Formats: sequence, C-alpha cells, structure tokens
Amino acid sequence: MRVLRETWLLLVVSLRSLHKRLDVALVATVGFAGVVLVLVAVLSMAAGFRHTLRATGSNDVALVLRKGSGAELSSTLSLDQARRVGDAPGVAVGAHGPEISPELLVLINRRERRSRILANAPFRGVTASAFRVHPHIHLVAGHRFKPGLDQVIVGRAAEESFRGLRLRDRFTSGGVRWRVVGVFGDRGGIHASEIWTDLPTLESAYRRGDSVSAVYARLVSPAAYPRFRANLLHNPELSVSVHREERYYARQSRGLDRFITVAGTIIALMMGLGALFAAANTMYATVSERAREVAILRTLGYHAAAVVLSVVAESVLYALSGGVLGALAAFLFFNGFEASTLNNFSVVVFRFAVTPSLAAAGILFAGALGFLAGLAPAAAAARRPIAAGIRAL
Amino acid sequence: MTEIAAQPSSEPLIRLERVSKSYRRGGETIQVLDRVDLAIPRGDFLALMAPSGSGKSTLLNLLGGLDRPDEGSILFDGVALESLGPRALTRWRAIHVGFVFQLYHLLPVLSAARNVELPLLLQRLGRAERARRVAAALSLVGFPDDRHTFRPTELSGGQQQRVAIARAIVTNPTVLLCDEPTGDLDRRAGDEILDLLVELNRRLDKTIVMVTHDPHAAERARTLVRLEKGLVGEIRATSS
Amino acid sequence: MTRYLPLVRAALARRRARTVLTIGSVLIAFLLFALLMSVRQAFLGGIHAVGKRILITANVVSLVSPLPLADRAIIASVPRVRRVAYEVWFGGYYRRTGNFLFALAVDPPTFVAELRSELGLSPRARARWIADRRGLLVGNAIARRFGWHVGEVIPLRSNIWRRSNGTNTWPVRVDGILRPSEKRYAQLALLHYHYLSETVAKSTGLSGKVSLYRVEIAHARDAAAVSRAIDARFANSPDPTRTSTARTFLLNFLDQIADIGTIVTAILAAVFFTMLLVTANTMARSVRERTAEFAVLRTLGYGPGRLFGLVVAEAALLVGAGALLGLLLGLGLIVVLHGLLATILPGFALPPSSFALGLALVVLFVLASSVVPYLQIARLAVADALRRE
Repeated sequence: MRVLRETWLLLVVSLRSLHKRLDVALVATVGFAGVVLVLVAVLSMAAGFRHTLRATGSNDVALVLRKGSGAELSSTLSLDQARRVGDAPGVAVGAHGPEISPELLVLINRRERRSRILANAPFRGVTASAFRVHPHIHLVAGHRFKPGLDQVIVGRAAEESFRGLRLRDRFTSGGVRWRVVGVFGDRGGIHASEIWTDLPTLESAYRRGDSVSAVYARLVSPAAYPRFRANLLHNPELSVSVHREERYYARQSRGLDRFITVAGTIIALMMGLGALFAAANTMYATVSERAREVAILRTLGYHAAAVVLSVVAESVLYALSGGVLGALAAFLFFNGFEASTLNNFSVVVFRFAVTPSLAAAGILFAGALGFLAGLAPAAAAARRPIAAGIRAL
Repeated sequence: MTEIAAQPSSEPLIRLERVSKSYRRGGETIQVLDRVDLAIPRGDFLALMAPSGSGKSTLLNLLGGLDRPDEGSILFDGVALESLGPRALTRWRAIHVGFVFQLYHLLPVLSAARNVELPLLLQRLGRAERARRVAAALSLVGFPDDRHTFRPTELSGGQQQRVAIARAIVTNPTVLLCDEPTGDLDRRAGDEILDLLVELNRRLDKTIVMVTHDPHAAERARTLVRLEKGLVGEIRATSS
Repeated sequence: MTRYLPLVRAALARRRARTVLTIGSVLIAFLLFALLMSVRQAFLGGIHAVGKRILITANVVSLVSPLPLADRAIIASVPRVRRVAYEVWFGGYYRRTGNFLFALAVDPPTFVAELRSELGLSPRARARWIADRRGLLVGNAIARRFGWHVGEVIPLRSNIWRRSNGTNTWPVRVDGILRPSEKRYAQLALLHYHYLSETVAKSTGLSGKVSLYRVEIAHARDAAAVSRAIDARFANSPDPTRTSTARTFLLNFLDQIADIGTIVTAILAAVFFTMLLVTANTMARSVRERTAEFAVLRTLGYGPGRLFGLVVAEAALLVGAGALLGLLLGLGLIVVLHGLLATILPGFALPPSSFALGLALVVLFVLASSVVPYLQIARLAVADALRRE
C-alpha cells in the first residue's frame, strides 16, 4: 500500500514538470497514436468486409450450385434442375408454392464513380420469389422492376459507387438500354453491391438460354438443412452441390479477412516496436531529468519499487492517451469509409467498421507497448545510486 | 574619461575606444560598460580585477569577439572588430584568440588529447601533424604524458585546466583570454596554473588578458586594471 | 571531413540509450519500407514489364463474357496488327481447390511466338509441346511446388469448366518447364486451347469461344488508334469489344482488387511521419543539451555553419545507420518471406528503385530533423550560453 501511495506521489510530481519535456512526451504519444491508427484502420477494413459477407447469409436458406463449382459465377443449372430443388424435403411452402429462388449472375463492366476504373459489377436476374427468400432485401426508393420492360433496381452500395446507376438513370449493356427504377438495401449484406432485374430479361440480354447460376431455397427451419442436402446429393440426375447460405458467404470472407488481419498485425507489431523505442527514449529523458528529484525522495525513504512503478505508470499513461487519440482518429477518418474489392471476380462494396472492440484492442495494444517501454528506463532510474543523483544537484 | 595607456612606449595590440555595453534584464537597462578606453600592449599579462557584476566577463567577451559593443570601437592589431562580419569574426577568432574558462569547458565525451585537437581540426593539417602539435601543447602546459587518453571526468581540476590552456594555445593564438582561470581550483593548483600563465607570458611572449576577482592571482600579472561600475579605474604595474 | 568523425561519434555516444533507440526507430521505419515496397512490387511490379505493344481485346460486357473465335481473323485484318493470340482462363487447380495455379488455355504457336524471349523455354520442349495436343508447359515455381517432372501426366482440374463427360478433370502431360526471367511467369501453366474447347461441355457455352485476344501491334504509338479500329469492327456485332493496352487492362484488374499503391503509401506516410518526429526530437534535444558545448566550440573558432555541419553529420549517421540496418534486415526478411509467399505473392521482392527512394527518404529525414537544430545554432548567444554553465 505504501509503495502504491509513493508511486502515486512520484507520478504526480513527475507530471507537474511535464511542461519541461512536453516535446518528448508528445512524440511518444503521437507515436502510439500512429500505431493504433494504422492497426485499427487496417483491422476495420477486414472487419467491414467480414461484416458485409456475414450479413448476407441466413442459416435457414440453402444455396444449390452445380456440382464442382465453388461459386455462383462458374455454376450453371438448367431451369429443370432448378425446379426439382423445390420438390426436395424441407423447403418452406408459401402461398405461391415452394419458396425457391432461381437466380442468374452475370458480370458487367461499370465505371466506378471515384476511382474511374472499369469494375465487374454483379448483375443478378431473379424472379418474384427472390424477395421472399431474401426478406432482408427492401426497397428504399422507387419501385420494383416490371418483368420484360428492361427495368432494374440497384443496391444502395452499387448506386453509390458506380456511375450512371442513380434512380431514373439509364445505361446500356448487352445491347439493352436498362432503366433504374428502384434502389434497394440489404441490411449490410453483399447484395447491396448488385444490380437486379427479372430473370428472363437477363437471360435473353446475355444469351444464357434457360440457364441459371444458382437456386436459393428457404427451408422450414435451419434443422431441415441436412435432410434437404442429403436428398439433393443422392439424386443422380441432379449433380449439384448444396451449401448453407450463411456458411457459403462467411467462407468467402475468410481468405481476404485472414490476409488483411495477418498483414495488418505484422505491420502494427513492427510499428509498435518503433513506438516502443520512441517511448523508451522519452522515459530515459524523463528519468535523467528527474534524477535529482528522485534522489532526494529516495533519501527521504521512498522505495526503489515506487520509482520503478511511477516511471512505468507514466509510460503507460502516454501510451493510453496515444492509443485513445489513434482510435479516435481511426474512427473519425475511417469509420464508414467506403471501399471495394473483388470477391469471386465480382465487385463487393463494403464499409470500414471501427467497432468499439477494435478500438479497445488498439488502445490495449498501446498500453502493453507503453508498459514494455517503461521497464528499462524504470530499472535505470531505480539502479542509479542515490549519491550520484544528489551530486547532480 | 581619462586616457591612460599602460605602456605608452609601444604600439598597443588591442585598443578599446569609448566602448559601451548595456543589457536589459527584466525591463531594466543595466549599463555594464560605460565609454571604456583601454590599450593593451603586445606581450602584456594584464589582470582585470573587479567585483562581480562589474562587467569584466562582458569585457572579455567583447575582446574575444563573442559579443559586440553598443558603441565605441575595438581595434585589434589595427583591425576594427566591429567591421568584421560574423564569418570573418569566426575566422579571426580561430587565428588570434585562445579562451580559458573558470569551469574549463572541456567536452566531456572527448579525451584530453581530442579536446586539445578541436581547434586544429579547423586547419588544413594532417593527422600526424595534429598529433605532434597536441603533444607539444600538452607537454608545454605540463600535462602528464600517460593521461592523454583520459576523459575530463577522470582528471583533477588542475589537470583539466591545463588541458584547457593547452587547447587555447595549440593554434599559437595572438592573445590568451582567461576568465577566472583559478576560480574553481584550490590554492595549490591555482598557483600552478598562474605559474604556467606567467611562464607562457615570459618565455613565449604570449599576450594574456586575465579576468579575476582574486587579488592573489592579480598580483602575478604585469599590469593590473581595476574595473568599477563600468569604468576603468586604477591602472598600475604590479611588482613582478 | 573524416577528422570530425570522433566529434560526431562522441556526440552520439553521449546518451547511448537514446542513440540506440533512435536508430532502432529509423530501422523499423526502413524495414517496413522495404517490406511494403516489396508487397507493392508483387502487385504492381509486373506492370512495367507488360509490353506496350500488346493490346487486349475483351467482351465489352465484362472480363468473364467470352468472344467468338471467329473474331480472330477480323482482328488480324485490322491495319497495323501484327499477330493475334487468344486464351481462355482455365481456373486450374491440382487435387485441392487451394492448390491454385495460373492456368491458361492458349493457341500454342501464336502464344509462344508472343512470349518466346521471356519464358526461358528450350526449343525442343517448345516443339514437343506444340505437337502434343494434351501437352502442358508449367513455370518452374509450380513444378517445384508439386514435384512435377517432364513426361509426367497430371490430372489438372478446373473450377470453371466442365467436360462433356461430366467431370472437371483434364489429364495433361508435362512437356516442358518454363524458367522465366520474369517471376510472374513462374506460376504459369499453359495447355492447348483446342484440347479444352473440344472436350468442354456444350452447356458451358465455351466451345468456339475465347476469353480474350492478345493483339500485337508494330508500334506502341498506334495503340489508341488500333484499339479504336478493332472496337469499331465489332460495334454492331452481337459481341461488341473493348480493347485496351495490356498494361491498362492489368492495372484495371488489380485496381479492382485493391488500391495497393494508395494503401502502401498511406501506411508508409504514417510510419515515416512518426519516425521523423522521433529523430527530429532526438536531434533537437541533443543540441539543446549541448548548448554550452557548442558555445565553447564557437570560442575555439568554429563558425555556425561548421557546427550545423556537425549536427547534420550526426543526423546523417543516425538516420543512415538506421536506414542501412533496416534495409539490410528487410532484404534478409524478404528472402525468407519470398519462399513462404511464393504461391500467394509471386514477385515479392524489393525493387531496385526502392534504394534510390530510400536514399531520398534518408536525405529528407536528415534535413527535416536538422531544422530545429539549425535554428538553435543560429540563435546561439555564445556569451549567455557560457555564463549559464
């Protein structure tokens, strides 16, 4: 207890003379802020991408693709195969029959508004049942497309990031002059990066005959999935693969997520080492400037342990303030920052997500670095003979 | 103001003409030197005696070109120091002036020999030649041969001052300016340093200006000048 | 200048911990610099190697929409076109989907002609491959990774195409190993277009189609005009085209994945800004602590310029040592990582231009961290500094 009280006193005395070494204290703080800014920004990118793909899938929806293809884009099913999915056990049945949604996915070149690059925008052909199978799709402006009239609705992210996709805009692709009649949201999901139209129109515009890429099926419950899957896989005429929608999208985020997280962590660790050096520098300066003061207090009976603790505490204090600054900067500059990348060749628009847990992790990381940075200078301060400190008077 | 030349017979090396200098401290202007006239002949060993705050260090700084007078002129060998630009003044100092301080002002991170070598680095000299001159200077001031590589902290005060004097004379300057050279030394070491200065003045004919408040030290000089309230007071030749 | 070295060295030895820590900070900055420049190189380094005389003609709809093989003759008839090659993205993997390889189905005679000089392929292997409809050429990186040898038959699988027999496996024979000077090509696997086209399932719609055309033109300056001419030929066809230089095409694709250049620059800016603060502060503190020393040197005849020179030398030594150590450590790390990342990031290596950039950064660091000391020295009042002691 006594040591803690002494530590507190030493810390207060030290901070009172902070103005004398404001420069080094600021350098240490800014150093930590920089590390946390980069760490949180990079991780928030990974988190944003992950959230987008995770938000897309539900666990009571199954996705049926052609056997051997891992993604919608390389999958082709005939309309006949699609219809058979609806006969499988476990599929929910509503007023309009089995709740299955055959969908065709093609990519079309659209120019990105900001970067002006030509991007592979996903263009999805659906039937009316799609809105029942994907209930999180909701119109935010305009109205749904009317079949056969070359009308499209666009996801909110697609509207934002591509040129010529605002409500009532027109664009040409596949020899068709399309008209944007509505804008939809996907509650953070991947479909917000897409353009939707009715299935037959898309099939004819891009000469895909009667084929679709995938069939989405709403099941009566998540527990119905194994039976549904087993039934389709055992049907020799079908030759399909079956996925839980939730897992299918989560899996797609894994590679990039891991890459960004690993790369970001390595960069942050290295930067952290640099900031640690800067902070140790600061604490050495503090310790040597306060040599006299510490020596006097030691002659008055203060513990060496209190000296060590006060130096470490001061270092941690700089680190935590730097960490808070960095996390705050990351939040201000990057939270909601829109970015895009390719996922299975199609553009996915996502927003950086600076979550409280990421910010906390960044601040804690800084605190740990501050603790380490304080150790060697603290030991130096405690080891310094009292007499030498007095002589410095 | 009284114009008194210490030794009117010879042409003075340094001549101060109506030199004034004042400082502002806390809104108050302090007149440190007031229209001082002084002539210092070549080969003199002049002691400037004065109580603290009477401007003796200021005068020394002016003589060494570290500071400029507010008014008046300082002629060194016929050259007016105030006419020299900063660059020329630096060069002039390197050639003509050697400083010795009360607190020695050796660089703590360099050995004794390296400290003495510092002014030589400014000249175009080879390494061997520099080493030779450093050794000569150190031997001239009676610094022990086996301590050349010692750091200042490993030397006594007297030894540090010897190194400082060696550093001041290694370039063979025209004048040696000493600011309380014995002020931080005990009596014996102080006497030894004074012996050394007298020796340098007599044997090598070095012109020395020494500022001191110690009458015992002042006694050793050829000429004694008292400085009071910014004015040059009594000037007399000492017994030695 | 070397005679001042002891002085500079002594100044750095004054506070050993500070010197070591500052060098450490600079080291980290330059280590990160080396690594991030290598990542950038892995993504964008190939760009400059991409021939300026190669155009890519693809379907205007998108990269994944094919073009009819019949277009080839039409493109070849466009003035100033020298040669037309074509390819299909195979989406190849070996055994598991994770064992991804950069596989293209190409027309052997035209493709090899186009890339002949860069592939490091013996004429015998080339002839063997051209004659073998089921032949495969693979880059040495892949051959090493899977332990493939010439003459071996490999079941190559596609995650895009399906055969008319219902499987997605194409048995191919390794006819030659590429030893390319350009690292990207070490990941390449080349099989015959006709083998794919004749065995692929009808429903894929690939038979008689290609992914894109590579068009060689005589002069780089004709690129824009020839591109326009090609696209004009197909403007009213069922499959309009979009032609661009290979470089633009590749850049556009990479930009879609991520703006690596901007990300790398942003991170490096943050790193260097922080480290610059550290060094600049070290120098400013060091000079401030030595005010009296500098005053003494002034009395010895050292001019402000020379003192500033000493400080710059000190900063240069500090930053130079950190930068050199950081770059050396980075180079070592890159060699190690290069092996580990060979499959994800081929071409992960420090581009030589980084050294010039690194040197420029060192100079910038030294100058920037000398600004405050410069002011301190310029304002140094010698008389005051000596009195204060």
